[in-house]
Amino acid sequence: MIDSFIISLLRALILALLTCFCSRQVYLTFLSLRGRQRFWLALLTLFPLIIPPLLPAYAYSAFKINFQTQPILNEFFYGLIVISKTLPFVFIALYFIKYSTQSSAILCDKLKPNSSLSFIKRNAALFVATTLAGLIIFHEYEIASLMRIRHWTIDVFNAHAGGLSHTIIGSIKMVSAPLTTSLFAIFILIRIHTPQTQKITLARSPNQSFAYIILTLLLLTSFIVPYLIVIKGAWGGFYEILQTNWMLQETFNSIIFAIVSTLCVAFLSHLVVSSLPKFIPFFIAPGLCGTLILGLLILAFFQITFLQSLAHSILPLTLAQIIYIFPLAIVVRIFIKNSIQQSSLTSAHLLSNKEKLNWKLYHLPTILAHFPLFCILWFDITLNTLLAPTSLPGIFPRLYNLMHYNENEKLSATVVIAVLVPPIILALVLFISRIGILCKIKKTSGN
Amino acid sequence: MKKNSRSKLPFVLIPVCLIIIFLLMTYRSKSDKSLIVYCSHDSIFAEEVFQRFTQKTGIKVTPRYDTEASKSLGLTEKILREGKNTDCDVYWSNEMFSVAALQEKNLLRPFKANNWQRIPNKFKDKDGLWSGFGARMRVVIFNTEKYPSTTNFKESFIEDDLSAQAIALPLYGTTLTHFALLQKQLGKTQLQALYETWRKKGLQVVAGNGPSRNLVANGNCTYGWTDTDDYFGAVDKNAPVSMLPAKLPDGKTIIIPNTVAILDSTDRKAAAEVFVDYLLSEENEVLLAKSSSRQIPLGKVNEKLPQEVQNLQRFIDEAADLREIFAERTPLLNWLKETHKIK
Repeated sequence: MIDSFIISLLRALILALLTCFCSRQVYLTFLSLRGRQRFWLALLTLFPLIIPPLLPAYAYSAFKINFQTQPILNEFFYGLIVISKTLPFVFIALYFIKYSTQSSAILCDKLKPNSSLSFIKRNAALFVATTLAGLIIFHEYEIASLMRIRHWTIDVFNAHAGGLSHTIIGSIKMVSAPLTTSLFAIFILIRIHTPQTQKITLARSPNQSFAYIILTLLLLTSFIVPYLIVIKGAWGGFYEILQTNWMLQETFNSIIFAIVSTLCVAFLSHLVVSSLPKFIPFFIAPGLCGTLILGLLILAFFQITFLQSLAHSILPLTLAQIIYIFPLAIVVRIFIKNSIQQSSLTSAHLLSNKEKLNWKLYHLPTILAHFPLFCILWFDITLNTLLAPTSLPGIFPRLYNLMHYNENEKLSATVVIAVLVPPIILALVLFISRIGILCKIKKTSGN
Repeated sequence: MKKNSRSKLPFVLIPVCLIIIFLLMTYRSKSDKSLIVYCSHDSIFAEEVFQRFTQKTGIKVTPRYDTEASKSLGLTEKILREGKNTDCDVYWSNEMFSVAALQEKNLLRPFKANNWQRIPNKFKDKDGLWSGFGARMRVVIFNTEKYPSTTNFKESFIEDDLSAQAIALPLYGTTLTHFALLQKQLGKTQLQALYETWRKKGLQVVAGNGPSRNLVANGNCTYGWTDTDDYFGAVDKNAPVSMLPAKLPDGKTIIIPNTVAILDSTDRKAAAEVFVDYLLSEENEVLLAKSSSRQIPLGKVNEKLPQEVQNLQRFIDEAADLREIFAERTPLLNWLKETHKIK
C-alpha cells in the first residue's frame, strides 16, 4: 500500500507540473487572443470536462496494442489522458487567479533592490495551479482502474475484496497517508492563494504555436480519436436505447442528483468560507478519502438507529456527493472570493445598469466556476453504485457496464447523451439566470 | 443585506424542492408489493428475465445492478454493511462466494422452492439458504491464428516464458473461485509456489476476465483464462478463438452457477419465494441458455438447447463441489492481498 502511495504521489507531482506547464501556455495564448478566436480556444480547452473520464481508457482498449506488456506506453497514455482531463481545471484556476502577462508589474518587482516577494509568492499563481492539478491527479481512480495503473485508490479498492474484511476505522486508517498529504496540499493552496496573489504577474509572451500544438495533441490523442472510436455506432444505438425504459429515467436521476448536490455544495462552501474559515480542514477531510471509503462511511453512518429510515432515501447519495466535492468547492469558492473584487461590485451597485454588471461580475463567473463540479458529480460511478436509492439509479454505472458488455451501439448512443447533457444544463442555467436578471431590470425600470 | 439573502434564495429553495420530490419518489409503502432484487448478473441478460417474470406473475421487480467497476463488491458489501436494514428482498449473484458471505452473517432465509428439487445437490445449500442455476464454466481461451492446436496447453506451463498467457487478478469473481479450488486440492504452499513461478515467468495478471479474453482475441496473448460467457462474447464478434474447459488437478471442471437467496429481513416473503421459484425453473434456465451468454442449465431441460450449450452440459457431472471451498476464501484472500502488496 505504501509503495503505491509513493508511486501515486510522485506521478501526481510530475503530471501536475506538466499539466501546469501546458495550461500556462494555453492560458497565456487565451489572454493574447480576442473575440471569436478566444472563445474557440476556451471551448477547445474546456471540452474534456464534458467527456466521461472512462471513455478514452475504454476506447484505447479497442486497439490491438498490449498495454499490459508495455508499462511505459501504458503510463504514457495514462499521463496524456489525465493531463487532458486536468488541464481544464487548471485553466479555470488560472482564469480566476487572473494570472496575467502584464510585464510592468514584474518589471517593477525586479527593479526593486530587495524584493519583498519570495520565490513562492512571486510564483503563487503557478503554485496554486500545480497544487490543484496534483490533488486532482492524486485522487484519480476510474481511468487508473481501467488501465491497470499502480495507484493508491486501486489498492484501497482491492484491499476491500472479499466483503467485510475491514472495519470503518480500518478503512480510514488505510487512507491516512493520502488523506494527510491531500490536507497538507489544500492547506498550502489556501495559504498561498490570497487576494494578493491576484497582483502577482509574470512577464512572458505566450508561445502561441506551442500552445496550439499541445492542445491539439492532447485533444486528438485523449479525446477526439477515442470519442470517434466509441460513437461510430451511435445512430443505431439511439433507436435501441429509446426503446428501453431506463435511458430517460436514469439520465434524469443523474442530472437531478448532480444539480441538487452542486447547488447545496455551492451554498455550503460559501457559508464555510465566509463564516467558518478556521474549520475548513474538518469539512474537507472526509471528501479526500476517495469515493470508495467515503461511500462505505456514509453507508455505515446511515445504519445508526435513528437514521436507518433514511438509509434508502436520496440523502445518503446527496450527502456523499456534497462531501466528496466539498474540497474542490472550497477551492472554487476561494477563487471566486479572491478574484471578484468587492470594490468593483460596490461600484456596480452605484450604477444605473447594476443588475447587468452584477451578472457579469458575479453571477456569470460563479455559475461557470461551479460547472466543473457539476460535471464531476454527473460522471460519478462509485458513489452512485453504493448509495443511489434502488428506485433511482444513475446512468453512469449503466454506461460502465455497457463498456464491459461490449454493447457498442447502445454504449455509443449513451456516450453521446452523456456528453450533451452538461453543456445543455449549463446553457439552461445561464438562460434562466439571464432571464431572471432581465426581469429584475424590467421591474426596476418600471418602478 | 436583505437583498443579498434574497439573491441566495434559489440556492436553498431549488435543492429543497428537488429533495422533497425525490423523497416522495423513493418512498416505498408497505402495500407496495414490488420486489427489490440486487443483481450482479449482467443487466443486459437479467432485464429480460425480470420482464418475463413480471408478465407471468404480475409482480413488479425493481432491480439494483452491480457495476463491473466494483466487481460484485458493491452489492455484497452494501448488504453486509446494512445487515437487517437492507432494502434487498432477493439477491441474485453471478457466483457463489457472495451468498456464502451473507450466509456466514446469518442474513439469509431458508426456502426450498418447488424447482429447488431439479437443481443438483452440489449447486445448492442443503437447508435451502441459497440455490444455484444457469452456470458458467471456467475455460482456457486460445487464439487460433497464433496457436492452431489446443492440445499442448498443459505443456505450455513448462515453458520459461508465460507472457503470452493472461489471467484476471484472482481477488474477485470466478478467478477467485478457481484459485480457492486449486488451494483446496494442491494445498496452500504448493499453490503459492505455483503462482509465484507463473508470475516470475511473466504471466499477465489483468483487471478481469473480459480483459483476459480481449488480449487473446486481439492476438496480444496466445492463451487466457476466462469464463464461457466472455468466450462466447469473442465468438460472436468473429474473433479467432477456441477454448478448452479449465480442469483441476483431479480432472474436475469448474462450473460456477448464478445463485439466488432470499434475505431474512424481507417483508415481501411471498413475492420473493415466487421469484426464487421462477429463477430456478426450467423456463428461466432455457432463457439464460439461449441468451448470448449461453449459461449452462443445471437442472434437467426438455427443450432443445443451442448446440454450444449442449456441448457444455456434459461437463456438469464432472464439476467440482464448490460448497467445499467456502472456508478457503478468507485465508486465500489474505495471501493474495499480501502477494499483490495491497494490504
